[in-house]
Amino acid sequence: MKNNSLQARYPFYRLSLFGVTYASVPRPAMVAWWSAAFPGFGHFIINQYARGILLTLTEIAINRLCRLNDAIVFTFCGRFDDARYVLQEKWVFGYIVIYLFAIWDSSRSARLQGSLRSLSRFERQPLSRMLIHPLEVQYIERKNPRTGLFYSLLFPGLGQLYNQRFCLAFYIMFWWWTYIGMSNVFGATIELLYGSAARSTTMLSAHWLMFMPSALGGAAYHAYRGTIEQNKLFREEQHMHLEKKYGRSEIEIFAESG
Amino acid sequence: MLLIGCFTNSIDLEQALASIEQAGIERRHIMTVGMKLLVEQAGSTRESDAIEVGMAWATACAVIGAAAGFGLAWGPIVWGLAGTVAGFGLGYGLKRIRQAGRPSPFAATVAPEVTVIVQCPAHKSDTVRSTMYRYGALSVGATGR
Repeated sequence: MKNNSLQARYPFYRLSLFGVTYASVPRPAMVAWWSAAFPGFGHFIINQYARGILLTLTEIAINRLCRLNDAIVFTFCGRFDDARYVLQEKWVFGYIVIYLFAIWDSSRSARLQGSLRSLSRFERQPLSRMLIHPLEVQYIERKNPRTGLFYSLLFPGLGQLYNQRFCLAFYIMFWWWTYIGMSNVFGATIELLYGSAARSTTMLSAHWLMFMPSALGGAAYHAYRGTIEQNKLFREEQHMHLEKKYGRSEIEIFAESG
Repeated sequence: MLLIGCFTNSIDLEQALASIEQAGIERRHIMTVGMKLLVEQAGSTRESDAIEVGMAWATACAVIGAAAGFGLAWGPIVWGLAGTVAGFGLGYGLKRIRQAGRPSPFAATVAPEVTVIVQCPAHKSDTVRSTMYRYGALSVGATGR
């Protein structure tokens, strides 16, 4: 498989220890939106995992340094003076530039990958369906996108595990545990149900809670879309394979009628 | 005679073909046709479905709901969840209106994606037919003697 994918000028996909990697074809506007929700998630959707992970780490670090999430909360609560006071101006310019770049770069790459994918369809390439690695067995299978979505909503990362992307899965799960621990969301929920709403709000860390909707939504979207894309890959590969194997059929539909 | 079976793209399909070959049907007497579905034909393969649009709106409204909720009586958890539900409903609903007539992404659709045509002598047709059904053929038809 390694040699085969190097031979093709536009490889169709590549199986590796980390799962299946391919040029993906989501809607560029959708990719741009997930980059805006959480810089790096747009790149996850188009399979650029390394830079996606680095972008999410940048986001978590710089957001903390410039206290952006706190400023967002103050702004939506109408406390503009507090927002102005809490925001650390030395980090703001760089944050904005990287934020906008991530949105632009991911949607531009999504558009390009669509073209690369259609070019790879014209290349005859020997493809492998299964990879046996000392640490893993990886293969492409057909799955239900709603199953991955369901597990992803229960605990972000499980949808990626369902899609065989185990490293990204545990990366997302690690951060979800961090958000749960730092935001105290479950303690606050119990207080909300059995105690007072006002005390529940003071128990929460606004900074860490504000990461949660984007991480949850982004991970769920990535899992759902990833399954759809892998199913597409499964179909296209199988059609190529059947074409190659049974393409020289000698069946005559219209036998000569004496 | 000719046996024609409709399948979905699946591992089962490959097992069906392997079993048919194993039963003594030569490879040149098997023909497969990959079918392109109507929804793919429309050039909509890049389009987002209603669940995807719903998720995007849900996330946006959840962020706003949770942020504003810090200043509201019921707190960020309630308002965040309310934003999620309202956002998903809004995005999903708007997309479904725009895609009126298309099947819902929640509907389980089974489409014939591959047609398999097998030419075989009449005495083998029962074997081939039952093999097709065993490995998930949606429908099987026969023609000729």
